[in-house]
Amino acid sequence: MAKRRKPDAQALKHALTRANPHFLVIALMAFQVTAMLLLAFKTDTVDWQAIGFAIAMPIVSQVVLRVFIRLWPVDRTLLVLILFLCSVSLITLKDIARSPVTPGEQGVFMLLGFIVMGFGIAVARLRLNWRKASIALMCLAVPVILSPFVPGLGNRQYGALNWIQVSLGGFSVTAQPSEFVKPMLVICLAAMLGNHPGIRRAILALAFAAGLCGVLLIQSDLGALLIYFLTTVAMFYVATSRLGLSLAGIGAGAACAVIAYKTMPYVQRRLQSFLDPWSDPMATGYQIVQALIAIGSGGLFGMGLGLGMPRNIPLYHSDFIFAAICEEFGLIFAVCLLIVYALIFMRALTIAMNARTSFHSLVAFGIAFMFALQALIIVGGNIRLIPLTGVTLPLVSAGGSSIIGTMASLGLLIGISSLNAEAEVTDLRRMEWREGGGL
Amino acid sequence: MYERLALWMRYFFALLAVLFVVRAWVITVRDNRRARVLRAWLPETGTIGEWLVLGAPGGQERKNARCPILNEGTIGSSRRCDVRLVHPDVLREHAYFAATETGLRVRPVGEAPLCVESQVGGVYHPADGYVDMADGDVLVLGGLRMMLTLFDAPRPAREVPPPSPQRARTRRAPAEEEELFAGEEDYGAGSDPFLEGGNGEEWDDDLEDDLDAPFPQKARDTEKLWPNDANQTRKR
Repeated sequence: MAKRRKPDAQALKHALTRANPHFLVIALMAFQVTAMLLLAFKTDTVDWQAIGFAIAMPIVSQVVLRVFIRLWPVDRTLLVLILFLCSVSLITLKDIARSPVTPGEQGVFMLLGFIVMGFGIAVARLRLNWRKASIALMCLAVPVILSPFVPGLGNRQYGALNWIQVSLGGFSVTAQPSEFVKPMLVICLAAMLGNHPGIRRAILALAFAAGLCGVLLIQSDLGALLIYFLTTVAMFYVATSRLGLSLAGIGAGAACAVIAYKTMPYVQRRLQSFLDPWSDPMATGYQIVQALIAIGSGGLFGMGLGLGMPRNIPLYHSDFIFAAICEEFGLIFAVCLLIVYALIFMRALTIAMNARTSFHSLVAFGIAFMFALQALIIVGGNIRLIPLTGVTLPLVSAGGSSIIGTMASLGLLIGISSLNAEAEVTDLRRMEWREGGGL
Repeated sequence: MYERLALWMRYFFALLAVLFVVRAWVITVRDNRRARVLRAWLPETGTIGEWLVLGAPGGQERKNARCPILNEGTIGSSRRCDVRLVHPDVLREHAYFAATETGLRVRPVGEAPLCVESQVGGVYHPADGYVDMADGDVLVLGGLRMMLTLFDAPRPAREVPPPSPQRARTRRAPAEEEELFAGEEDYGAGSDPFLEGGNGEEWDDDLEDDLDAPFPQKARDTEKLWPNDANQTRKR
């Protein structure tokens, strides 16, 4: 064994301090204020909603940061990156939405999302028997994902029966239950597949996932189906290291995709518009053609806030919001946005590596993978890298259920990061005692 | 006028985004580098114990090899296992172990043969698919024996017989240290570090600390808060 030098206190303190994200927070608040103030004067009349956002967004960012940091030892940089995505969302929606209801609604859902994130952190820190809790969670997830089939609630939108609409009094809310089931799926899979599962438990976990995928198939929600399936396969591989079975799973999925292509005309149309959108630019290829034109016309620096014509893209606030951001802000900003997604994924993987139990490690990995996969799928669809699927860009697209579901998952992730920080402190204290107080 | 402002702000937003991303990237890289430095200086951060190979006749494991234990892992002779033991009696994947509240739970894979010899006497075979090990127990995999050391061993789950009066304790321990010893496992005569002399090849020669140095007061006080016998045992 090599002779070990006792590190001096100064060097150890340097190694222990986390880099602080002060500059990030200042840059973020500067971005929020300047962009919103610019948008306030876009038209001849002063837009008071934008002024309200310009005041509220930095305040809410500071409050969220300080509250979460004070309560738990969370990963601060991750929190700032998430806040950056939320601000980009609000700024872009304020810019391009037709009515001020969309950014206002988005703001309300973001606030709700931060509260849900707090709950997520608290749930991740619970010391439950997660195996038993996941059985209960499975029993909860099944009715939630089956709720669009209930006759009063179901609401068909964009060809898929995966929305529910709840009306209380005169106030109706539409929600997408598959978004809420995503964190539940990750928790159940992690609890069942963690810590060297036997065959019975692995089959139970995979059967649950397969059941959810089947329900999604019946609801024709192919984007969510893709995400659920790939996340399940990835978590299975990470938990059990069985490359053969995982590849067999992907192969089976590919076979099902081919069958879907042969039997569903909807899939054939999507694939056709991906392969050659210019053959029918006014009907089936319209979405992707408009998106490509928008991305191209943005150039490096964009057309300027409020100066582009993003409303020509259909679904510009949900599916094609990346194309709208490329048009308004430019390629450099869009690439930075993608790098932010990649950084969130990297930090989430670090959290998964440092987690102390296999359950927490798998939950962190599952959430990281799902988050990055969703971003990859929708950005790839926007730039015509892969065929378009109807998923939302996490945290940036408009969509209340997507925001709540993503915030819940990120809350779990941040909760696991706080557990890691506490465990590291405990370990260092124990090391100090073992070395006899000489550290 | 708005157009001109918006056009100039484009460069500002792009610059801000680039600075933001660069700073976040630097923070992430620096965090990873610091974590690696910490791990290099204190390589036992996060380990809860060690396996010590006692004897492996007929295999390639050398005696006194130590394997650190993180929370959970696998034992076997294949390259994928966390504790890799190359020995004819050890299957490719022989057992799983996982830390529990009171010790280590070992589950044999399938019908892999293993048993646990407790330090206080008694051989335990896996029942219901697992067997619990406490600090100081020996895991027997055919011809290969490994002793488990848990650095922060809690009160053992098994009954500890009271120390027999004939066993001489050469260390004159003050009264309060003896009561801290009360709940821990008794050392067999063969492995008490303080009774045997000159067992140098088993312990680190690099430790400059004097094994009999008086225990610092601060650590003794914290000892009362945390049930932790690792400081007293000096098992390294």
